[in-house]
Amino acid sequence: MKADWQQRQVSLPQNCTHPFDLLADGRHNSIGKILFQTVSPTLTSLLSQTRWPSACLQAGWPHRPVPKLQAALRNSYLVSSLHVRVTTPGAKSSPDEETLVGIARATSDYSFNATIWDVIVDPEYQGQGLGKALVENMVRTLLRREILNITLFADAGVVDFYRTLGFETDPEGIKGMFWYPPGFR
Amino acid sequence: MPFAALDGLSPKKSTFGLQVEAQRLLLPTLTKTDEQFAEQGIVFMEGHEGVNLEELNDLFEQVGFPRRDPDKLKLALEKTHTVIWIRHAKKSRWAKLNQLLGFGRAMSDGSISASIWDVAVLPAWQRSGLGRALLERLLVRLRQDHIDTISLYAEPSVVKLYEKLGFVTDPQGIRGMAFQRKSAIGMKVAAGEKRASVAKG
Repeated sequence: MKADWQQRQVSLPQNCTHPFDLLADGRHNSIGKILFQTVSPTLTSLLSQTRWPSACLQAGWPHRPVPKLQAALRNSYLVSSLHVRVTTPGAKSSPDEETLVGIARATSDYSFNATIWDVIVDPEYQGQGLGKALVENMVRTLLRREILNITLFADAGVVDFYRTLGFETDPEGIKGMFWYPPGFR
Repeated sequence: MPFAALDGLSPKKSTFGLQVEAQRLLLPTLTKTDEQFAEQGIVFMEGHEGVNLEELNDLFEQVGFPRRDPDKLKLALEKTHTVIWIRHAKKSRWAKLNQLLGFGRAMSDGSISASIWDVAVLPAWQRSGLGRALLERLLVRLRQDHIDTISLYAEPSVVKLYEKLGFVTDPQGIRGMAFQRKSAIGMKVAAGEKRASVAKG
């Protein structure tokens, strides 16, 4: 079943699989090549690794059961992941040498609203603008597809980070709220 | 398909089974049941199939929301996890038969996160518990799918209403944010689009 945006003007790279977007940017740095990629089958197993806790901008990530994570990724409108592939001269690099270093996903109704969730960059790779690149690419893609109401919930410590990327808190006084069951409020 | 009775749980379950499941899932309780509403000729419907898009846009307009392009609206509803709307099931001087009285939807990945949008009740029917009832049923639906993170963006005038339903503002300092197009990125994208259209001649 083709999504509306696939039927319209957006041209996708050949190996892009619905519904995930292949972001074509690649950047070289001194460690290895940082690649934006679609979600790979190994991604969800990587995501369940326990080395994520300190990296998580949203609490609760490493404790999610893998099937729940897989379902969430499958049903997200957009998922962007960053991998490091280290190439040594003369040696063949295999997909196994790729390490997941960052991820972001967005849910959407394909028309009006999108919410960005779970923006995470591995602590070792923070401070290099990878989080910024992840979010910027997401926003750019959403805007290109005319999904104009792009929202997210920012932990207190990253509000300024998102401000520099063009996000505003409480626009027109509108407040973000979360539901808690009785006894948990 | 009318919204399931028995607080949204399967009618086949025993009362004890209901209580256990409700506790386990931490289901929100319904202030008023479907039966009680049905007596007043008010029926809660789930799913987008029966929604008249023109009527929905009329409802949006009446509560101060923008009217939407019908094609985009249709797609949005198809891609929405849960749609609940309120049907006026009898003839009265307050509303036409089958008139759309209220609406609400929840966007979700069906597993971890959800956000509630476009909650609207006809002005003449506000303050009669319909908004609350709508929200309660959305919450039950989401909790039945074990969705843990249920969020929404509330205008200042309705924050208290949502607090009464169990929503918390800015928990642990988490802030709701929205992208404002009049920023560097927005302008870069717009400029890029302009260049692309010029290049095509």
